[in-house]
Amino acid sequence: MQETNYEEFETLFRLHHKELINLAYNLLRDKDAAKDVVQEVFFKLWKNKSELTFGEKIKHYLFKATAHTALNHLRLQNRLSTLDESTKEHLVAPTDREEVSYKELEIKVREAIDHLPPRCKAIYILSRHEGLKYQEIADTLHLSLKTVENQMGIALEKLRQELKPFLSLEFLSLGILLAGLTLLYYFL
Amino acid sequence: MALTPEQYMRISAYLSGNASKQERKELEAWRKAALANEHQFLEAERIWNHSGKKLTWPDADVNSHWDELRRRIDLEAGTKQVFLWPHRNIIWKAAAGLVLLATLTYVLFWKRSSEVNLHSGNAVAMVYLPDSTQVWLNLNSSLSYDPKAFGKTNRHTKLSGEGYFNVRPAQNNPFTVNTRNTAIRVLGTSFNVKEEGNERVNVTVAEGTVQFSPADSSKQKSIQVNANEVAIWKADEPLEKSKNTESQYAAWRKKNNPVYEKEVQHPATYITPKFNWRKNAINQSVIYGTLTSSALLADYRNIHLRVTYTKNNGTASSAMFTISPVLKAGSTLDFERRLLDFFADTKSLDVEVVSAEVVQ
Repeated sequence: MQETNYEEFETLFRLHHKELINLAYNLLRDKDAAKDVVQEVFFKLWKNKSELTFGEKIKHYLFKATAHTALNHLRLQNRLSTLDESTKEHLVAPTDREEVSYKELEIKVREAIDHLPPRCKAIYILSRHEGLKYQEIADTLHLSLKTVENQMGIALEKLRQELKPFLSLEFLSLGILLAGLTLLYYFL
Repeated sequence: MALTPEQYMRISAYLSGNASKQERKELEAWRKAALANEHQFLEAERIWNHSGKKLTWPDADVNSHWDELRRRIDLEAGTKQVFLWPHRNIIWKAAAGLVLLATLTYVLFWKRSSEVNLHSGNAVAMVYLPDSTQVWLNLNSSLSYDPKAFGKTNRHTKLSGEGYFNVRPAQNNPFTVNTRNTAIRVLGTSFNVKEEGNERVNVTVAEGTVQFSPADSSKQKSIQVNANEVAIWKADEPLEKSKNTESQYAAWRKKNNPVYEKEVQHPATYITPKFNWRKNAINQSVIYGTLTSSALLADYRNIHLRVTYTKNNGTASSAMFTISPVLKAGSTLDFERRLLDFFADTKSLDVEVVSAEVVQ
């Protein structure tokens, strides 16, 4: 029934559009690319619709397909650019807080995340922002569990390297505080 | 102080909640073992805590994204069914189902061709053809053309129902509109074609000239129809032509047209001011600029502008002006106004369109 599928399909698109666009945009930081990714995912879905059933599983499928397609796009992206003003406005916390204010460090961290190699970045974002477990990330991106574990370690290492100048000053005082507390402990 | 890759892996697994009970114990022991370890852990944790912000795109336009996807699907399907009614909402759901069914049966008679069929459905629709010709379609009307051939040596279209055409002039590229029983040929002009089943076809010309003839041109030669004239074809009768007395022949475009409704309800959205200002010899602010209408059908007049100006001391005032001349759809109007701020040291100024009347 060609026409019923078309209507159902449009409903599906409108239902999941916001979530998938945000996922793609968070991974790619490029609105046109994000739009293309979501379109590709749904276009593929449309072409294969005889093989799939529309049920609760579809949400899962769409999420994975979007992350996977976005990773492919990430690999093609060569640009490394800093966040512009309009992007800064839309940094939100992963909880339901309507967060708008941000600190310098958070922006720097986000830039550092965008400098990560494509696979590494996608894995880190799926873990940190989407809360996926390692095995789920492996399934989504068609990677092995070992790769995900490795890449998470690499992500942390690279982030730490890039963010060192922004962390060290803050830790000077913390280090002194800790040293002081330890000394206190020994004397009491 | 460098950490090994394995240590980074363990810390990231711990922070992301992917470490086993045993691994958690080991890491916590490692942290306590040396201050340097704790320091490094805290740095990593700080990074983890500060990397939670997601980029979002809250105003992503689902409607235009859906349109793009739909077009891509239609192209892929080959018959290129294009449904022109406005973006789906609850109101259209039921109607959409019926029309889809009707159109589908209609489509089954078309072979898999490269023809494009545009259907208006339950609302007045407006489209631009590949040559920028503008066409309005009344309810349940359709227009078709072959995108491969259109514009090469001629611009051939088929109409069923009623349409209003603003044909872009193009040398040596005649534009033709065929209904079931008549043929119209133009070079560049505006006209309305109304088909009533197999009984009658009316062609009213607004501007320019058209050649009007029955589909079977052996029956009768074509007649020329000029501006403000109307020509009628009736089954088994010769073509008639007369001066047009029906001034509202194209008024259907404003009925059942959601786009026009918006133009009426929200004129400010369709009128854009561009302006500059300066102080004249008597220290009055003179504002001069243009108002451009992006409306397709609505003509506006008595446009209310609000000018907000701030003085050097920070206080703001506003003044209202009315621009009375008619601003026709899609055109631009000049304006100039002066404020009564002789004694004020006006530092900045903004102009916004508040409202406007629609010329009926």
